[in-house]
Amino acid sequence: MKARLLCATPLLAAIFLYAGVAVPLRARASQARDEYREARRARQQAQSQLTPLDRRETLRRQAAAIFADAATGEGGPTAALRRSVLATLEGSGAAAVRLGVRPGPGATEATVRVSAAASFPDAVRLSGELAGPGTGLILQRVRLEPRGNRKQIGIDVEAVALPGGR
Amino acid sequence: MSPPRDFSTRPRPGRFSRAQRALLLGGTAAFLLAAWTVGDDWGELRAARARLAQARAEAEAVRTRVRELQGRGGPEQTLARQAVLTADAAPPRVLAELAQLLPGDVRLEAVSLSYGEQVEVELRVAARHPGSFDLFLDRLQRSPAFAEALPGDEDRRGDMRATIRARYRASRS
Repeated sequence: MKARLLCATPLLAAIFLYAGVAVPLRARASQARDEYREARRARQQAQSQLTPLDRRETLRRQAAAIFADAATGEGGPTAALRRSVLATLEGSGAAAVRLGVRPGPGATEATVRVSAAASFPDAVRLSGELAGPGTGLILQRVRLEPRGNRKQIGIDVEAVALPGGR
Repeated sequence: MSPPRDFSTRPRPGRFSRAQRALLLGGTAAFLLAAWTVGDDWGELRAARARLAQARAEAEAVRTRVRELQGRGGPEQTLARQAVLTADAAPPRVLAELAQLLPGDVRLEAVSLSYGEQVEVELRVAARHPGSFDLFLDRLQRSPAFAEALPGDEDRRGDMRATIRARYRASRS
């Protein structure tokens, strides 16, 4: 009897190990995998919310970064903004240019108002260049309207610039 | 008197019978297999928990960032939105979308774009025939690039002139 029990001990221990330890471990691992899948779904959901918000923030920072260095430069950011807009206007084919750069309002560094006349293609191109990422401008209003003999298009743009480093 | 010594060559009976030895061997093999299974499952559980902890930490980090960005209210949020619209709805792009919808005898007299939470488009349109204007309006209303296209004042005598207000759908996929 004693010998039989001794011989059966490893088998009994194996059964105990499998049923008492391995099976519960496997169940816990399976539960952890289910929870992992759920956590991944939650992460993807949050990521889909974050992507557009992140892009907004990136573009806002890019626009602000344009004037980050200019803030300490000659004439400050308003003068830098004026130079930047003038550089965009140069070679754009625009005539009868009127430009105004004013500080503010509120959270913005400056407001730019550009009024010019150009051929239709030049006017469209100019409106695109003023909205380009290199200018740091955020458009507020754009108006395109024929002028005089209709060969010229009047373009009016109002845009703001953000303070550098914000 | 000491017991007689056994000098025979017949093997002495073992401590365990054959069946018992088989049970011992089989049991030992089963134990080793169970121990290996436990080790394997334990490793898998640890890996699954590590992945879970990482995924939870990442999800929480993303949620925190979303809360942080959503928490920024007021003008800063509006400016950020306008920065996106400046990139996604630059005037050449909006004009190109409009040009695709224009019938041959309809022309745009004036185009105004206002960048706020959305891009509001105001058009002054001239058409040789009222039917052409109606066609343009219909195309605008059906276009996925524009929403809420509503006609304003219409002068339908002779060379037709009218205004239209619409919203440009900058982010559509």
